[in-house]
Amino acid sequence: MALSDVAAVVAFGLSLEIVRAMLDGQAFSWEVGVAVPLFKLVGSLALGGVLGLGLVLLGRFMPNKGPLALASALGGILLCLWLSDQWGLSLILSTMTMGMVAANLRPETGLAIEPVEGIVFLLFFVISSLVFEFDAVQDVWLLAILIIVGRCTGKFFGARLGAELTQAPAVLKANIGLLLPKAGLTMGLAFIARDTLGDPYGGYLFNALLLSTLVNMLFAPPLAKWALMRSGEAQAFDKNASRCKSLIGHSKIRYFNEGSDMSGLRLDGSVALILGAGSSAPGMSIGKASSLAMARAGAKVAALDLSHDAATQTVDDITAEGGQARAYAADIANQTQMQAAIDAVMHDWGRIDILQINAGIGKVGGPKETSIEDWGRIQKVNLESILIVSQLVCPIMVQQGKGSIIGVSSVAGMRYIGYPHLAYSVTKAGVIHFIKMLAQQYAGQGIRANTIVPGLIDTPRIRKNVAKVFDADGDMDKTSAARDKQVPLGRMGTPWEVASVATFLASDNASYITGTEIVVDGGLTGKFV
Amino acid sequence: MIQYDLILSLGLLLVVGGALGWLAARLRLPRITGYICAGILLSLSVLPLLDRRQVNELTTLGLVLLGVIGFAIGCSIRFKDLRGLGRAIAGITIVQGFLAWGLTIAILVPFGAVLYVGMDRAATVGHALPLAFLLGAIAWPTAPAVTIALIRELRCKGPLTTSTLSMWP
Repeated sequence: MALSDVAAVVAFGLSLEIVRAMLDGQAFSWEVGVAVPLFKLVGSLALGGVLGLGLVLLGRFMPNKGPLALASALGGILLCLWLSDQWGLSLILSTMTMGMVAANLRPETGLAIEPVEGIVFLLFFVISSLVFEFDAVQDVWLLAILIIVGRCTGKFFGARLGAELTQAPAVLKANIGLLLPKAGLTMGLAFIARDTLGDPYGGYLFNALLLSTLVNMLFAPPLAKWALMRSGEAQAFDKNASRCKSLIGHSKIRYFNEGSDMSGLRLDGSVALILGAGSSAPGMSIGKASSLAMARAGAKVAALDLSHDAATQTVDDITAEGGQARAYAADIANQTQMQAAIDAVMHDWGRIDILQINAGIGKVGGPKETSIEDWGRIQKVNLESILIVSQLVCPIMVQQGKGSIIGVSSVAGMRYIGYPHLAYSVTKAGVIHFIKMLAQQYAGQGIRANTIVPGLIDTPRIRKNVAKVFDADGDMDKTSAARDKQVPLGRMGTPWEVASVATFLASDNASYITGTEIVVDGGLTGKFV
Repeated sequence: MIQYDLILSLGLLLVVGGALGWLAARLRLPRITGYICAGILLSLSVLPLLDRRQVNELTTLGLVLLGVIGFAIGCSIRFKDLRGLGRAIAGITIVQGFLAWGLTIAILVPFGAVLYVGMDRAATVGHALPLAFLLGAIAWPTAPAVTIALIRELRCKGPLTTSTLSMWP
């Protein structure tokens, strides 16, 4: 590991010896050019490995945290440093191997030095920039600038190309070329080059490297911070950011008239996580139609469903239309599975801009027919799932400063629907209020949250489960006719009519809508009988 | 042996570093930028507070701190996080390393005659390629210490973080 460093030490050793031989007109020495760097490399790994194992063994007899654990870790590090110096090894490579071996074999070891890390970083960076001397760098500014330009462009495009060639996750491709800091090792190599080459070039190169490192140190860390924040992997809450936002008086939501096309809804560049994206039977569900609609609007769709096959079917349909999507399988009421699924989504896509929660189950009946077990199960899938997924997704959206959450409730959550459907109706009422609470809490952080309240929608699940309620002996045509008659518009809705509202709420066209519900019911809830 | 004035200068570094780190955080910059500015402020060519002997002794202390940081980096690399990323890490490291090396050489060589001020021009043209070769190799590494400090400050977790820690791109 730490491949870059390993490669650099070897490449440097080799080229230093070539250059020395050329400048002095002497023969190239394999011993100095190849054998010594390789010894340095292997020796450092071996020393770190052995000391890391030692620390793990020692850890068995010691508390996991506290002064004793800290003391033994620091003692090990100092021993490692002294031995590296004695044997001419790379001190950073050996201590790093030591930490890696120790923490992977015994995770508690990794926590031991946490209490002192902050102060170590502070002192290290202050000390490492103490060595700059301005009068020494006047002649070398052009060389220093060229070094920075060559290195940064090479690293930036090289990282992108490397990520492209190895089909790295999107988050890597977009950001890794922006992590450009250099310091410790560069200066270490610069010292060696100065001493090996001697005058006139040694000092000259050293000063140029010093200046390029100084300039780099000033611009690279903020750039790297920006890349890490942008990647969505930073989890520390940025207090300053939220205060700035509230001072300006609005959040980061873009407004509709800002570059949006009135003629169509666009979600380009967004990642939409759709829960319940499959269809429980052949045909179109609300989740599946929403997935397809958002993909057509340009979103990348993470299609999650309890059934992997159902999610895959949705993904296949999207890809067949030329959209981008991936399938994920998880039980939305299971915290562990959802954590893993969302980690996977973040790994693959790097962000989540839209979250739509479609999944829901029910059982026909009032209090007498609903067992405690039924109630628990329905509550878990319909309501607790929203708690679980908000816990996981809201921090991601806060970090992005942008997000749209769409809950899917039901008219049953607003009205009595003509037959007892207690657990379903109560939990669907809960969805509306849950999303409302979410919207209020996160309004200042760029997240909008709304609920869609569909009426009677013609979906495979309705066909499968509800037929019997209409006393039609499972005859779907009779069921359909009965449902159509109930609706003022004279027909049931289609999943697409819900999906278009979902796409609207997900888009910047809905930038001023949050904390409310949109009823999509063909007039059903407005009528008296 | 350590002198008492060194202990005083250590205190100075801590206070100035802490203050500028705080200021950097207020300006939404990484704390490290503040620490680095503190170092430059206290360096010999800006404020005459430290002397060369103190700087040299503090630099030795810097190596010890770098060891602790190396250990912290090692602790942050978990093999289970690396699953599936190995290919990408190896690929990115090699391609970007060689490109940084190659581009540095390509940019430096044409300027060979004018870069090395005050030296025999005929000789520097001949030496431009080997010198560029060497500077290109030094362009390869990334400072892992900066990266780990940022990652800890921002509490990062994910594939970008894991890859960065493993390769120091």
